[in-house]
Amino acid sequence: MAIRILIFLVLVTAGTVLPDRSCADTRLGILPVPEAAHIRLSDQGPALVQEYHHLSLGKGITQVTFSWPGVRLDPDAVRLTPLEDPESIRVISTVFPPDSTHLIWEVDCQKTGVVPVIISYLPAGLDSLVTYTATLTADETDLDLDARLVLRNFSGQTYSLATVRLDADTMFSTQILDRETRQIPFPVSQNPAVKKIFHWDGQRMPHDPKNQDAYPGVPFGYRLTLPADDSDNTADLRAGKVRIFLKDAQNRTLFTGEDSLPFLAKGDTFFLETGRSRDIVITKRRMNTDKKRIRRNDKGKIQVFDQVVTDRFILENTSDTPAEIQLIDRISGEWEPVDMGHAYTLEDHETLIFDIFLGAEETRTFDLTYEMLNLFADKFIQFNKVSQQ
Amino acid sequence: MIQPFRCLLFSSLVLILMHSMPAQARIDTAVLTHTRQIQAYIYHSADLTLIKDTRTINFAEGMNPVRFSWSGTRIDPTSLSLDISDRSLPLEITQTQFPARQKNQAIWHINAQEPCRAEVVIRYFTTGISWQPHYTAILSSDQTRMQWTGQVRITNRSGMDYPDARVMLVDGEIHLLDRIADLADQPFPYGRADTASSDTDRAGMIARGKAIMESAPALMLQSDTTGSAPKNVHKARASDYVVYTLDGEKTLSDGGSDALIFIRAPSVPVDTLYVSDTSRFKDTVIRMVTFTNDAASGLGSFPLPGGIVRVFQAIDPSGGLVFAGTDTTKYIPAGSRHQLRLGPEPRVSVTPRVMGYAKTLLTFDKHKNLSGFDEVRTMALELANFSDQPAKIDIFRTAPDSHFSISGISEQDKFEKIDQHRFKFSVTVPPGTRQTIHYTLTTHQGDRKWQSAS
Repeated sequence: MAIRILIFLVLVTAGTVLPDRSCADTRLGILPVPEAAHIRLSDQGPALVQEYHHLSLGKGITQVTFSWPGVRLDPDAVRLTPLEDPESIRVISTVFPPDSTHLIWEVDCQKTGVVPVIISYLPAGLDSLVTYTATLTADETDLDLDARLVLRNFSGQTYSLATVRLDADTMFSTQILDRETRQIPFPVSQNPAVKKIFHWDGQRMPHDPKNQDAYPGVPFGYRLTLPADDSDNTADLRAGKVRIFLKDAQNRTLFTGEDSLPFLAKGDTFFLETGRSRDIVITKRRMNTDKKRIRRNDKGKIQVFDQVVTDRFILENTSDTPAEIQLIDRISGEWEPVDMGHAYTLEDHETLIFDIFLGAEETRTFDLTYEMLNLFADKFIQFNKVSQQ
Repeated sequence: MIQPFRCLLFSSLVLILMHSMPAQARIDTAVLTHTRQIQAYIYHSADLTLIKDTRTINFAEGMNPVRFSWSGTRIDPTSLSLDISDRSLPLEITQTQFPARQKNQAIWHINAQEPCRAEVVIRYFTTGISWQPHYTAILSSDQTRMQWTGQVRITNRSGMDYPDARVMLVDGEIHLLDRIADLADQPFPYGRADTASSDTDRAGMIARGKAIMESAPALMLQSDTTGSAPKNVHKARASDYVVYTLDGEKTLSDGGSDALIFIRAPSVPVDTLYVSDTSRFKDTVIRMVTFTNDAASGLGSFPLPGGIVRVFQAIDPSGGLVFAGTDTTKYIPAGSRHQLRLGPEPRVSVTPRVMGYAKTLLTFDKHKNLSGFDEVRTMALELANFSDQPAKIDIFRTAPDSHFSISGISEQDKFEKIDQHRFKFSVTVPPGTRQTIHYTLTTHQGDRKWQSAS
C-alpha cells in the first residue's frame, strides 16, 4: 500500500518496438528509495508531494514504473522532471496500463548514468489545516496569536521523513504515517491589532429583546487588523479556526469562544465573533408611519405614495465598562433622510452603519425619521425594493 | 473513583514494535506522572468544561515523547495543549502527534537541551460537567420584601473524577463553531482529509444518539450531596463573562452533584405589579414581583445567571409559607429591574368595555360606493382590586394596525405610547376598590386609512 518506483532497462535500439505491456511478463528492476520528500501545502488545493530520486538510467530508452496501489491520486498530475541536462534526458511517453494504479514513463537518455529527478504527484487525503489560539490581555486591547499547522495524512502512503513547506519562509521536517495527524506550531510574524466591538445587525437581531423568552444577547468580538507594511516582517494569516482565551485580572486563562478566520491579507481587517453580551440590550421600535403625497388614478385608486417613518433605537449598557457598538440598519427602496438622530455612514444605498460609543451603565435613545419615496401600491410593487442587477 | 487518564512519559529507551506487530499492538515502557492540581472552568451556555491539569515531569536530554491518553470520557482532541509553566527552561515542544490507529491519544514531542524538571499544564475541553442555578424567593407577608437565595447545582456526568479541583463556573454566551461532544466523538482528531463529510455525518449520527441518551432521566446515578457544607463563592467579571470561583478545592465525582449557595440576600425590596396584556395573557391578570439587582437590594453588583425561581409567600411570623408560583428567569443584568411572573391573580381584574360605538366620516368614491369610514369606540377599562394591598396595574393594549388614534383619555398622565401599535396605562388601585379609565379609540377603515394622510 505505497507508492513505488521501479526502473527496468529495456534493451532497445532505434526502431525496436516495445513489448506488448498487456501480456504477462516477468520484470526485474531497481527500486530506488527517495532521498527526500517535500510536502508543499497550499491554501485551498491538495498537498503536492515532490520526491527527490537518483535514477540509474542506461543509454537509450529506460522504462520507469511509478505505481500507487492503495493510494488515491490523479494519474494525470504525476510528473517526472529531470533536474540536470534536460536536453539529453527526456520523458518521451507516459503509458497508463489498464489496472490504473501504475504508469510507465519511457525515458530517453543519451548516456548511461545516475540522474537526479523530481517526481511530483497530488495524493488524495493529504492536506493541512491551520488553527490559532488567541490570548487576550485582561483589558482586551492586545492579542497574542499562536498558530499551529495540522497535517493530516490519510493518503495510504507513509512519509518517513518529509520536509513540509507551508510557504517560502515556513518549513519543517517531520515523519507522518498513514492515518496519522500531526500538529506543529509555527510562528506568526506579527500579532494583529485588536479592538473590541459589539455588533448589532437589524436584519438578524430581535427588535424587542426584552419580550423574548430567550434573549441571545448582542454578538461581540474583536476586529483584527493586520499591519499593512510592505516589509517582509509581516505575513498574511491563513484561514483557520481561532480559539480565543482571555487572561483575566487574576491571571487565569478563560476560554471565551471561537470563530473561523478567513484568509486575512496584510492591511485587511476581520471581525472575529467570540460571544454574546446580555449586558448590551438594543431595542428598535417603529413609532410612526405617515403616508404622504398619495397619487390616484381617475377611479380614485391609489397608485403611488410616500411614507414618513420614525424608528426609535434604545441602547442600554448595564455593564460597568464602556462599549463600542456597530449598529447596522437597512432602509430598502428609494428613500431620503428627514431627521436622523445619529450620525451614520452608508455602506450601500440601503445599509446604514452607526458607530456608537456607549458609556458604562448608559442608556441612549435616538430616532431616525426618513421618507420612503414613490412606493407603488398596486402594480410594480416588486420595485419598492432594489433588486441586485 | 474512576481514573481513566494516563499521562505517560516514555523513557528514552522505549521499545516500540509497531512495524512488526499488528496495527493495534504495541509494547512500551512509560513513567506515569501524577496530577498536582486540577482547575475546572465549567461553562453554563454550552456543554463544555475547560480542564487545566498541572503536573511535574522530568525531562531527559534530547527528544522526550510525552503521551496523553484517555478512555471512558469525552475530550476534544483539537483542544489539547501542553504548556510549560517556566518559559525559561530549555524545552521546546516541536509537535503534537495523534498516532495512526490509536484513538484517544496524543503525543507531544518535547526537546530538552539539557535534563530538567518542569511543571507542565495540560489543557483540554471535556463534556458532561454542568452547572445550573436556581433560586428561592420568600416574600414577606406584606409583599414589600423578599428573602432571595441563589444556589448552583454542579453535576458531573463526564465519566471521570476530578479530585480536589479548583472549580470556576463561567456564565456568558460563548460563540462555538462545533459542539465539543461532536469533536470528542470524531474518529480522527481533525477529521479525515478526504472523507470529511462522511465523518461529519457519522459524528452527527453519534451525537444525535448520545443526545437522546443524555436527555433521558439519569438521576438515579447521582448521589445528591446537598447537605454538604456550603463553600464561599467569589465573583469576578472577565470581559462579558462572570466567573464564580468556589472557595478552596472540591472533588467533582463522576455521577455526583452538589448544590452550593452562591448568593443570599435576606431583605430585597420588591414591588408587586399586575399586568394585563391580551396579546400575551389573554383575559387574565398576571401577578409579577419586581426587584432591582443592585447593591442597595443586597444583591451586589454582579448580574444573576438565569434559572428557575420558586417563590413562596410568608403567611405568619412563625414561618408558615404558601407556594406562590414559579418562573424561569433570563439573565438579570446588574442594576436592572426584573419581573418574576407568578401566574394569574383572580383578585385583580381588568375588564375592557365598549361603552359607545359610532361610524363617522363615511367616504364614497366617484361611483358613490362606500370606500371608507372611521369606527369610534368609547372605551372603559374597569379595574378592580379585591386584595388587601394596593394593586399597581400595567394594562397593555395592542391595535391591529397603525391606523388609529386615541383621544379623551381620562387619566392622561397614566398613558404611554410604546410604539405605533401598542400603548399602555399604569394605574394604582387601592385595596377593595374599583376604578375606571375612559378613552376614545378611533380606527380608520378602508379609504380613510389613506384620506387621513392626504
